[in-house]
Amino acid sequence: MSYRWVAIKSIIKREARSSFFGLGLYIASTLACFVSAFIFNSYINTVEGNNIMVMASPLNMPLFYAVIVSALYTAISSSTALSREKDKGTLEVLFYGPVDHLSVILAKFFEDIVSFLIIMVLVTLYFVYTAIVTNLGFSISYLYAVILSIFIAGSMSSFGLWLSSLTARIRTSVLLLILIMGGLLGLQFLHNYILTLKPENLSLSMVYIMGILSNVLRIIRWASPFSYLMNGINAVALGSTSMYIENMLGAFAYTIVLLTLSVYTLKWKGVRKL
Amino acid sequence: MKKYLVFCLLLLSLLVFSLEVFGAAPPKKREIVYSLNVWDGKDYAAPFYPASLSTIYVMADFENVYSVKETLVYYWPITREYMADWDGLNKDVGETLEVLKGNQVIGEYKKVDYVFYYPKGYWGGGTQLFTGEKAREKKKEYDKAVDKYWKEVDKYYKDYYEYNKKLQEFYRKIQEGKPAGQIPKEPKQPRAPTFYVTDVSKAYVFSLPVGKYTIRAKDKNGNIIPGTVKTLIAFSHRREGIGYNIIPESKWTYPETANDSSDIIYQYREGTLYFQPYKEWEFNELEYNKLSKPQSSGRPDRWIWVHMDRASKIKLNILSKNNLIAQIRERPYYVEQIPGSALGYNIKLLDRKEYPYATADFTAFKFSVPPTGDYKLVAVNENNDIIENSDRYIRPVTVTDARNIFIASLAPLIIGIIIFIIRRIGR
Amino acid sequence: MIKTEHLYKRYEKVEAVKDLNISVEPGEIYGFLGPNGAGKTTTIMMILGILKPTSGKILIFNKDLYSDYFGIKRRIGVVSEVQYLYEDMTAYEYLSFFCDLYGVKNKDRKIEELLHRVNLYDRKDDLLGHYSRGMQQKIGFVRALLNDPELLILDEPVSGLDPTGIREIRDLILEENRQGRTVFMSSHILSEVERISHRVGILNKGRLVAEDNMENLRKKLTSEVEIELEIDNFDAEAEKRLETLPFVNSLTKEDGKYLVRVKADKDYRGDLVSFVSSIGGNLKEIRRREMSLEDAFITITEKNISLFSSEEVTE
Repeated sequence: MSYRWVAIKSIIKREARSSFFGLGLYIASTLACFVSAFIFNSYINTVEGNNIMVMASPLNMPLFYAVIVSALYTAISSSTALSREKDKGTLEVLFYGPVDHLSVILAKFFEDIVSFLIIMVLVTLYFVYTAIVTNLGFSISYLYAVILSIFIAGSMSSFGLWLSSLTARIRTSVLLLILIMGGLLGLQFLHNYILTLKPENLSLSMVYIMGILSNVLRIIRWASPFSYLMNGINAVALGSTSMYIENMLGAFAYTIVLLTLSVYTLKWKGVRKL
Repeated sequence: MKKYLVFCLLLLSLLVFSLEVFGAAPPKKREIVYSLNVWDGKDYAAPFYPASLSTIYVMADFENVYSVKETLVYYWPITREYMADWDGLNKDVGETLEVLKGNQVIGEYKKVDYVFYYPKGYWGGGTQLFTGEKAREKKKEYDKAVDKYWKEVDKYYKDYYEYNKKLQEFYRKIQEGKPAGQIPKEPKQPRAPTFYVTDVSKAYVFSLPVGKYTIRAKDKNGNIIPGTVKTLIAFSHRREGIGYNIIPESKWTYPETANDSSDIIYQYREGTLYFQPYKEWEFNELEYNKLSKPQSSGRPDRWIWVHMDRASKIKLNILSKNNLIAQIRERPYYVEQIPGSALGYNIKLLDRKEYPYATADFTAFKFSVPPTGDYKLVAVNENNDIIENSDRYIRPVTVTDARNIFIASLAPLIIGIIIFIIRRIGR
Repeated sequence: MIKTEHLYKRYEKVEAVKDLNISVEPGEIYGFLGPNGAGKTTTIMMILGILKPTSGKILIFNKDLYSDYFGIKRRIGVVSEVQYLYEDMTAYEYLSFFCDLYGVKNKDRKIEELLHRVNLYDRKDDLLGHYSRGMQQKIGFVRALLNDPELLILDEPVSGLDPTGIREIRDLILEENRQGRTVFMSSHILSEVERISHRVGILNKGRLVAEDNMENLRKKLTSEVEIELEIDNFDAEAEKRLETLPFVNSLTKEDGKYLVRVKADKDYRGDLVSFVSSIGGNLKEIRRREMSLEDAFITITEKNISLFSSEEVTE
């Protein structure tokens, strides 16, 4: 095993241990389960009220909400992963030893995935319990959704890590994440609003602005990890294999690009406590 | 400061201008458009393609009707779509319609006579398209039937007049105590033709196999008419299957549908379900939506089942753990209202012998779901061969106290707190 | 072990390190002395590859760091002024993590041995967040020694420690050096460097102003004596004339007394007495004070004097 992989493995182990003994992971899992509990409850109410409910994969909808919560946790956790260590000075100490920028970024990324998997295991255990208690049952699409969610978590983590590599303070990272998330959601709403307008109703200048905005949003579609999350959810809901694979590959490519960017940003910004 | 003032004024004027445009009445514009009558699997829809739409969707291997028209087009903001003002302008354009596959012309069509034949009346469904001589014959047949009907109506009114006269005579004689004889017989009201045939019109009528084509209209000199070149997509269904309308006994006016084999039918405790099977075809959502509503949207990666006719000559097998536990047949049912303070209703099997004049509220396959166990429903034909994509799972849902589900969701936090405390106490 | 050649580091408008040429030989303790902000930590960060030099070359074990990044890093141990430990880990877990990072075999035995040496074995299962500053510093040392490094780089290792802690750390450094490890230690405390270093390099405002063994350096640094004068009738004009005397290096006034720094080549007290009486001053007291190494260090760093030449370094 190369020295770099030894470093990556050791850091993952440390980080995983830290997550395991911390409360964040369990709070995120609980939130994910709690949110999905509302969906399960609505199913029960529907069946009780209508005496019948027809659904292809009833666990997918609650899973989607659980994945949104877990992926947001991953984004927040990764967006503070480097800035927290920079803030505390521990990142600098790591670099005294046989650790380089790539190994730190990869280790943090894989640890995020490990944490996400732990959350998914806890969520799945809860789903198993609920599925047995209510007799809702499992379908293979649940497995597909979980597999896809790992790729989505990857894109979320790489995005968070990139933000984290840019900043040296936990507060700045979180603020930046909230700002970007808010901005992306705002643009998404604007886009949806624009789609309802017809060129005939607009002045020439508005049409021009719409055109620019539309192109910006097209780029954002590929630049925002949240669009992979939403597209992934749609892919499983639609049962579209091509969309599923396309989204998986897209999220994977996005992850690679963002991780590379994170390595260079970390080199540029440095690892020292300010 | 001056710069900011100018900028603000510009912004304000832009805003005012935009608002003015928003508030203006929709202008009408002359456009060359396509007006179609396309088969949607159940009936003929009549979509219209304004100039802004570049792709026409039709179902492959079915005859569809294409017209190229000049009309007035306007945008209707309430439904957010372009509309044609046919009353304002409705002019046939072109002499021939060419269909190209790549750059190769594969069809050149002239206008032909066509009619739509509605065997059960305009709203009755089962519409058929007739072209050429058959169209004219159908129209004649209809006109003849209508003529005959009007003659019968004419005769009926005359007979009714005579009848009234005879009836008055009859009552007068009775009043006068004279023998009146037999009461006059009321003439029978003639029945209007139950079928309907449209006027003979001219349009291009043809069918195409699955594929992507280009269509364009040419004038009498053989020149392509600007604005008529469009992409034409002839699509077909992906799969065939059986879809179900499911009527729960407890809420018979709120039926559910289970269209895909992956759909699971969840039932609350034990209860009775009435299944109404339909033949169904699976289409691409975008293509199917565009077929009848070209200005609507749809997802190219989504597939939808569309119910066609009611499936006939089938039986439903109910399986439990792959063992056949029941085979059920379609029966007529009627809903009997419970009078009095209890209110409610009962769904009862309609026994023709017992109630010869009663009519069924619906016909369906009845299955009383046991309170436990998972079941599988599958449709078979008369030879007991399984019909593809007709299977559905039926699961009774165990309704538990919702609190259990919420409490269980806190389990990860409890695990986390235990680990955290053990870790802290241990140090 | 470490060699820098014409090393420069510039942060936008500030030159943190200027034309630095140092050489640390195997087996020695090299004291890297300089006041706060002299550029010591910047130099160490460049040696470790954490900061990129603006120009110049660094060789560690006669190799460029990036020619064998992981290989070289595995042969170095580093202790910084503040340890920045993972406070949610126990000492054992923390050291075990670094053992994994360095690929240390028999890590349990190694951790046990080192913790015994710093008297922290009994606290190995305590969270590092509960450790005192001195204990954390010791853990930093243990971490640096886990991989049996050939080179120990210490950045202000005793800063902020109590006298006992300082002594323990000092003994540890000497012990490690006796075992053959080369030590490169930065400090702004001359007495610390003076006690244990074989050779010292003095860095001031990013420039190396002196580099020699302690004996020679002492001679160079103490080439001045301080004479305390108490004079009546001594006006500003007289002060100005006193300051321009050829043997006077500097003049300061403290509690009404004059402190005159003169060259140590001869006793100038007679010359000063003659000068004072020549301008009509009333000399009440004259006392010679030997200049300590510390005073000399402060003088050269404050006045930015280079001992490589007799001239003052001009910015």
